[in-house]
Parts: sequence; C-alpha cells; structure tokens
Amino acid sequence: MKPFTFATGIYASGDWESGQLVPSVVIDSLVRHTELEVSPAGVNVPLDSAELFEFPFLYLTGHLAVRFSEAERRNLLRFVDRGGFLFVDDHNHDVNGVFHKTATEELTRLFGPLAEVPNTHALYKAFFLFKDGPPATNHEMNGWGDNLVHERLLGVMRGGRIDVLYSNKDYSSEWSMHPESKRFMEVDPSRFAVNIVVYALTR
Amino acid sequence: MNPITRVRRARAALLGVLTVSVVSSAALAFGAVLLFIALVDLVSPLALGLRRAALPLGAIAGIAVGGWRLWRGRGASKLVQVALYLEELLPGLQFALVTAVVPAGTPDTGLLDRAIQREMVPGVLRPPLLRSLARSIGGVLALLVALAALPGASVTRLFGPGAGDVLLATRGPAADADRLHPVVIEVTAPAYAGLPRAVIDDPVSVRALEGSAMLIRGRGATLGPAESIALLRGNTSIPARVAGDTWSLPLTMPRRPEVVRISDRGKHRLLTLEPVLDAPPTVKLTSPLRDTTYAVPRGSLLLDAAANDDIGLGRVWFELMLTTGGGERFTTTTRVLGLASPAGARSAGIRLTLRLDSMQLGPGDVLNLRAVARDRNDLGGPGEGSSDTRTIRIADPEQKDAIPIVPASAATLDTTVLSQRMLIIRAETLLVRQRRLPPDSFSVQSKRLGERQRMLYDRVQALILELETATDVGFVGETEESKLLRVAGLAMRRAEDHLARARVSAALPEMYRALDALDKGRTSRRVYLRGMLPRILVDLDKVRLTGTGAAEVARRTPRAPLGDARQELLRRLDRLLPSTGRAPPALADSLTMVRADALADAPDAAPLLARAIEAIRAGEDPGQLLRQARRMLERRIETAPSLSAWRGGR
Repeated sequence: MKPFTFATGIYASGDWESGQLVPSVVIDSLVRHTELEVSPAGVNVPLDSAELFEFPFLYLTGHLAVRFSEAERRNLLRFVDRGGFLFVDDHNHDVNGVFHKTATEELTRLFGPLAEVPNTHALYKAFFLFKDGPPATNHEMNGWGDNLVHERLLGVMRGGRIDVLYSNKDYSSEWSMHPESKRFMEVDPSRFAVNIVVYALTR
Repeated sequence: MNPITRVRRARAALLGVLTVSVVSSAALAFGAVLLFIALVDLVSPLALGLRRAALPLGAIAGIAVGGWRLWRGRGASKLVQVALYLEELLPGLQFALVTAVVPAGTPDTGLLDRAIQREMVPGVLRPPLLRSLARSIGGVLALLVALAALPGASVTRLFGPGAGDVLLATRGPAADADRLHPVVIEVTAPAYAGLPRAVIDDPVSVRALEGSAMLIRGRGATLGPAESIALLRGNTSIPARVAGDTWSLPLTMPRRPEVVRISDRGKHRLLTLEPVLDAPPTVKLTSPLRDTTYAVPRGSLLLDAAANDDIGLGRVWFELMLTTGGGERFTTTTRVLGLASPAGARSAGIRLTLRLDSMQLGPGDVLNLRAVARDRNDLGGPGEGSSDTRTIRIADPEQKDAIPIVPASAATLDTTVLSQRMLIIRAETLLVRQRRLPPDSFSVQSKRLGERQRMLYDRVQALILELETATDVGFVGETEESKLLRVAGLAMRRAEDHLARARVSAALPEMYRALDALDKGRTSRRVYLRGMLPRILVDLDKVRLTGTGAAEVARRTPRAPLGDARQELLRRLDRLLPSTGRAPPALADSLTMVRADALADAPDAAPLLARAIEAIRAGEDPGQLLRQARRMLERRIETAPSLSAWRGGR
C-alpha cells in the first residue's frame, strides 16, 4: 500500500502556496501520534492534472480570490465523486473575506450548498476527542480584528459523510510553524489535523 | 354551312363538355377520398398524421382521375376524330363528313356538301352531351350533399387537422364513456422563454421547460359527475374545472421528473412530466488568453468575451476583483465593467479596453478578471455562468515568494550543458577534418574527446546524487530533473564508448541526445513556479510516535453504504420482470413510475423503459427491451487504467 501523501492543490487564481509549512506540520503530527505510513514530504498537485487522482486527500488554502478554471472544476468534481477528501481552509480569516466569499461560491457551484458540520460529528472523535467541535485558533482568540470564534466547520456531506470540509478558522496560520517548534508547546496545535486526515482515510 | 365549319362547331361543343367532365371527375375523386377518410375517422378516430395526409391524397386522386379523363377524351381536339364521332351518330353520312375534313380533300366538294346537307340532322350532338353534363354535375352535387351530411367536428378534423382536435373525435355512448381518453395538453412556457404555446394530443409523457404552465383538457364533463375527475399529485388532489362538455386540470412543470395520476370514477391514467431545465449561460473569455505578471502596470488590456444561453441572455458583464495588501491583510474591491443587456438573444459578445495605468495598481496587487452572464430565468433563476478567471499580477520586488532573483554564478548543470555543446562542436569539426588528418591522429583526438565526455558523465552522476539525497535522510527518490539527467548520462556513456573507438559519426547522435536531456533538465529547474513550496522533509524515524496527546478514539460503527439510486431502480425493475405478460396495463403503469425516477437517476436507461412501455401498450412483448434496460442499470463505473490502485473510502 502506498503511504499517505499530503497533497496541496495548485489553482491558477490566488495564492495556493500561502500555507508553506502546513504539510510538514501535519505530516509531523501524523507520524507523532499515529502509525500511519506517511511520505516524509508533501506534494503540490495542479487541480487540472490527472495526478490529482493519485491522492485521496487534498488541501486547499489561500488569502486571495479562488476562481477555478473549467478544467480545475471538472477534475475537482471528479476527485470528490470518486471518494477523494477535500479540505479547504481560509488562510485569510477575515469575516467574509475574498477567499471565503469566492471559495464558498466555487464550492457551492460544484457541490451544492455547504452545510454546517455538527459538533458531534465523527470527525471530532476520529482520533482525538474534540468535545466542543473544531478547536479554536489563536487568531480567533486574539483576533485579527473580528474576535469571532467560528463555532462550526462547513462541509459538503453525503449520507452524513463529509466529502468537502471547509474551515474559515485559519488553521493554515495555526499550523504554520516549523515542526521542531512543537516541542516548546504544551499541546500540539495540529492535533486536529490528525483527526481530519484519519477521518478522511477511514470514513 | 360547309362541312368543316360544322365539324369545328361540333368540336367546340365536345371540348366544352370534356372540360366540365374532367373538372367534375377530378373533384369527385378528390371528394370521394376525403369522404372515405372522414367515414373511417368517424368509426375509428385516425391519427393526426394520417388526417394531415388526407388533402394531399385527395388531390393526387383528383389529378389522376382528371388526367385519365382528359386522356380518354383527347380525340375531341382533332377534326377527323370529331367527324368520325358524328359519322358514328349518323351512319347515313357514309364517311362523307370524314372525307370532307381530310386535309388532302377531294376535288368534287359540291357532291360531298350536298350528301352531308342531306344526311345531317340538326341537334344530333345535344342528347349525348346533355347526358354527360348531367352525370358530371349530378356526381358533384351528390358528393357535396354527402360532405354536408358529415358532422362539423369531422369536417374540422379533415380540413383543418391540428394538435388538440383529438377532442373533436366521435365519442362512444355515455354509459361507458372513458372521460380520461383522449386528453389534450396545452403547454405555455414561462414568459421569459418567449416560446410559442404548444398543444399535445393524448400524451403519456410531456416534455417542457421547467415552470411551464400546462392545462390538461378532456371531454365528457356532462356524462357523469364532474367532481370525480381529479389530478392526484403526491398527497394532493386537484379537482377538474368544468366548462360545458370540457373539463380541465391546470398544473406546472416541476423541477424533477414526476408521474401524476388523473382519475375518474375508479379509472385512472398516468402522465409523466419530464422537465427540461434551463441551463445557465456559458461564457468564454477570449482576451486576455492567459494569466500574466506585469513588472509595471502600464498600457492597456483588451477584454473580450462571448456568452451563449439555451433560452436567452439577460445580462453580460466583466467582473474585476482587485486585491491589494499583503501578509494577512488584504482588501478586495469588485467592479463591474462593460455591462450589456442582450434582451433575450441566445448569444452576445462584449469587448472593452482596460487602461491599467488609470487603475492605480501597485506592486503586489492582484487583478482577477472574468466575464459573467445571467439568463432571463425569473422563475428558478437567474442562471449565472462565468468564464475562466485570468489573474493579472503586478510584480512586487520585495515579495519573497514572487520571482526570486538572486545573483549567483552559473549552476553546475549550466556549465555541463555548455561543455556538452562544446564537445559536440569539437566532434563535428573533427569529423569535417577527418580526410585531411592521418588516421592515427584522428583516433587520438577522438579518444581525447571520449575522455572529456567521461568527465562530463561523472559530473552528471554527482548532480544526480545531489538531487536525490537530503541531509540526514539519505535517498529521497527520483526527481523530474534527476530522471532527465539519467537519460543524459546513459547517452554520454554510449557516446564515450563510440569516441574511444574513433567512431565519431556514431557518437554524435548520442551526444545530441545527452545535450537535449541536459537542456530539458535545465529548463525544468528554471521553470518559474510561483511560490514553489520549500521541500521540507520530516524525519519520520525521529518523530515516530513521540506525541504526548492520548488518542480517545470513539468506537466506530460500520456505516451502511451510501444509497445507490441505480441499484434501487434495478431492484424495482427486478420486482416487475416476473409479471411481464400478465396485466399489461398495470405493468405499463409500474414501469412509468420507474421510468420517471430513471429520468433523473439513470437517464441512459430511461429511453429503453419508454420503449418497453410503448411495446406493452401496443400489445407487444417488452421482454427484450426490459432486459436491455436492466443491463444498462447494472452498468458499473469502470476505472481508467492510468489511475492508481487507490479506490477511495467508500
């Protein structure tokens, strides 16, 4: 079996590459806490390439406008239709910022309206237990100005299973550190990433 | 009066009667065909197509009979033939008349004139001509009387056939009247579509634009209690409206295919509603064709787009999103430019020149451009479509993840490429000079080139090693670049071998192959990928299971597989298959329900089910079609061989 590879989606508009350190942090957390076979480095996959179908998990982030091309839309739709898991995180964290506005618009166009993921969903107990739903980020607590804690994540669900997970909690900033820095922290802030990946692989 | 004048007068009379006869026989044939079709239609109502063919058929019959009559009377135009006809009526003429009208003539015309004068009886033609006229006129009158006796509805169905006249067909006795057959459905598309009203005769299925207003009309409202006619839609029952002998039921085309039931006193009929959804517009941005980065935002940019819609476009415009800022702080403003209202046209184009220097763009700004179109759907819409987005970036020299320009000496790979090119030039020069050189000298120089080629090969091997290993980790796998360098290395080894044996012409193709691979490797490294992520490797062995947080994995319960609509349809079809041949109307109704769901969930199988339903109604065996539909529903999704072995989580 191929080891799990963390794939970051490349899209033509916006800044797909804004979460540069996220893949290594997530990989580190997976290896730290689970026995999953994991590739030591992430890959960047253009959304309009067939390579996309090599990976069951895809991470998309950015601060700027998300406008998919027709080829990107077609591939993404097929990717999710074939069982791939798409995790989209708004790196912008502004309330109704351009990423949130355009990304949700694109996802709605592709998969239908996003629904709130209940905080009792299996996602929050896929590995670690998050009784109160998605963990808050420092940016939410200390804020960029909105001081708003988003209580639920959004998603596209089929029969209760999440196909597309959308977060505007800015986990991409929360998980932007060198993995080595974790040893100075009391709690690994990327534990929720383990839940997301484990859920994606076992749903 | 001389004989020729007599015959000419007789010919004129005969031609007149012949004309009347030709016209009346043609009219008789035409009318007889129509009368026959009308009588058949009275007994058993004929299809619209057949009735539409009645007039052309009658015309063909009329022309044929009239032509035949004309052909038979063709002799009336010739004097000799007319004379012979008169001779036949008056045998005493003893061919005197014929002899008189023969062109050659006879010298003794006086004798002939006298004989003709003597035998000729005035008014000899009148009785036969009157008989012929009476036959013609009588026939036409009789036909007119027969046509006048036809019911008005029959005449309308015959002379003005059209959709909707199925209700004019003769009905059976009141006691066993089936008021649900036939019905007519008038379909009025939503106003925004601008489509003409359509009338459909006695359908089992109606296909129309979503939101269309439909009116089901039938007759016989007075033959029984009108309130017993109702439309059943889900749990709702809509009673029919009555006007005279006609009842009507209004309904609207839904968004999803649906089967509605019309019922009357224990009888019912099913009607499948097949909505046609208004597709959103398609938009193509033809300029600019690709994303670009401007060093300085100056000059102008041509925006050009074309939009198309299946029904009609409402508005088309360019949308510009200008994002300024950096780090975690961005400001985006959206602008609408070049707004056009094509007023329902199915296609439209918009064009605009954007002056970049007037937009106050600064370093690091990002401009997202796209064309957007909306249709005129004011029911469930408007449908909106947009083109691909072009991203125009303004280069920021201070942005680290923008174009990195770091002054550096030439990379090892670059010098390797140069050396390989130089080796090729030297090898080609050596080949040109081969004839002027002593053989020993040629071999020595070729061997030296081989040694240089070997040195280059060693440098390429070192590069491969550098690319495929990481500090503290070791081998991390092949890269695109290292793969190309391997190809180059292999060609270099072959070239070296040829050069060592003074086979310069054989070595050159290999040397070119190596140069090509090196060039590709160099280009692949130089391709600028915006913000290419640094390759951060996690030391798996060091980190493995060192986490301190304890997992509290909840007990997982296996979940039922997601419902598969095709499988459900297959199960429903399988339940119906054994009843093929028994109770055809019930089977047709059940299949109608399956087909309605197949229209949405398995559109490929729906036409086969429709054909099977038609076969059942026509009293034919639907078995073959149902088996085909079953195979279609059974179809599994096939994976392309190029895809990996991973099959996903469900």
